[in-house]
Amino acid sequence: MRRLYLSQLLFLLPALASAQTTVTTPLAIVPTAEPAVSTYTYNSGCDTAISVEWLYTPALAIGFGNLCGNLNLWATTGECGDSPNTSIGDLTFDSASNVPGVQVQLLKSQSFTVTPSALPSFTVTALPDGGMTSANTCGAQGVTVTNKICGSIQTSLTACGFSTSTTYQHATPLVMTYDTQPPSAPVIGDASPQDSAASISFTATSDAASVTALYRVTGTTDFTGSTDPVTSTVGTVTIPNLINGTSYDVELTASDAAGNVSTPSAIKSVIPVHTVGFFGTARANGSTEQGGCSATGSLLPLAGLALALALIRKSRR
Amino acid sequence: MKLASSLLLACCLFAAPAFANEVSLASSRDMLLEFKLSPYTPMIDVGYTSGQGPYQRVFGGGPMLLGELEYEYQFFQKVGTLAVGFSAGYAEKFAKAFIANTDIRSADTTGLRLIPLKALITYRFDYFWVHGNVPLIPYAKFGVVGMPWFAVKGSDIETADGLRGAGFKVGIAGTIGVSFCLDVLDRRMARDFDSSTGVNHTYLFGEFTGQDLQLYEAPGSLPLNLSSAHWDFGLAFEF
Repeated sequence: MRRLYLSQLLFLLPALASAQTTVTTPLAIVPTAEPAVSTYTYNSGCDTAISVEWLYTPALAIGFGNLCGNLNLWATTGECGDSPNTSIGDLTFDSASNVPGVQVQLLKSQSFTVTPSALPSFTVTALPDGGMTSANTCGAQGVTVTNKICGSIQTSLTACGFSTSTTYQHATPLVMTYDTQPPSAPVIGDASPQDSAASISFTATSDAASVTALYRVTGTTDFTGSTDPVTSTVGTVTIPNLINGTSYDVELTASDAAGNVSTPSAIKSVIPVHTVGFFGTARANGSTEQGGCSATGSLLPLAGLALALALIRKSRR
Repeated sequence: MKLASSLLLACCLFAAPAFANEVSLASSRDMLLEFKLSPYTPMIDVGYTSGQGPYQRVFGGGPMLLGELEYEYQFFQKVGTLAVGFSAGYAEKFAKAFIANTDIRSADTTGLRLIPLKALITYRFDYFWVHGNVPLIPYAKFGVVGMPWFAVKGSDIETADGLRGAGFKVGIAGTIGVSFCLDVLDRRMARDFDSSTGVNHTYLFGEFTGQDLQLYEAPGSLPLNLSSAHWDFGLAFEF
């Protein structure tokens, strides 16, 4: 089963809201496997249930007070607030919610599932006049929508039941972005020849997570070669293991975090060339350097030093 | 310059009597550690016609920045100090490689990496520092040098004419220099430094080094000449 990793619920320390994997708050929603993410971007698996779990760690509950009322877990397209707002189409995770505070303290963790196609962005959209209308279709191309998975529970610094000391504590929402919109094609800046290689500089749009170079021998039809992705929006990708003197066509594609691949960039051609570095220049200009260890006679200084040390030692006796 | 020299001399003369009775409180000393930097230009282009030297042509002729760490063990402390030591350093220089048979730079990077290693005997004439607290200590060093070198292109060792651009040079080196003992500037701090860390004295020094790594090359040959004559400046701790 495909699993999703939810961020912590940060109930007391807003400054720690950006923390992801370390459980530093009394109540958190955490992944069951690494890596943990606080934002989750995907473009497929609309009907694949994703498993998450909430986790309570009482050892860190300094000043947290008592857990009162029930645990709330829900999804929304807007801001989380204190509790689900069904009037704008929020989706409550009923099977996981309504766990009493006492049970939260006893159970300490419990899993629940999220089905992407059931999230509010794919079921309803709130209209300005307060009504609702049909929304996006999970699985459609060119769609980018975001849902938040929210959590809250009431706490009290005194005994539960005294309303004046009871407040809602909120989780930092998990942001789930469904994205089938590919990034724009990257732009090749320069295609520079190297020795048996080529260096391609590029600029990609900000939604690109990586850039990959595809290449072929000029005149052939298919781009048979590709490089490892470069995880940058501005940079250089190097194509290794080319043949000097042979013309290659190069194009770049960009991929976003959800795995959508852009259309290819414009094609540029490059011909790798033999280059000469420092050693080659020295040899070409008449150096007789052979590399390796210098002449055997070079050991004489070492022998001289050893003799000097021996004489010094002898003189001290 | 004249004023600076006068001030330094005055500092030495005034510091000497005031410091005379305090040296004996110091802990014993038998080691010295030096950190030093140097503008280092190997004599690679010697023997080439003007403008054809590979170092000048590829790197433009500017010096490398050589950093060295030296350790000495002092085994004689009577009239001056004799010590044996070892030093290791690193220097590198990089530029863009040429497209073959042209003067056009390519996207490839080429470089020269040097790792000078030395075994040294050092004599420091610190008699007037120990007995008169004159904080200027002249010294001389002599030793053998072993220097691994690597010519790289891209991320690999460069090959040319079927030869690998890496090797090991051996030669001799001599150094003369002067240390200035910083203890005279703040005697209390120097004492505290000694009692807390065992560092007896701290020195600023400048030295001139000549090294010959072409001792046994055949006449008429033109190997990579990594000999040099250069200045070093650094900081030393005696403990």
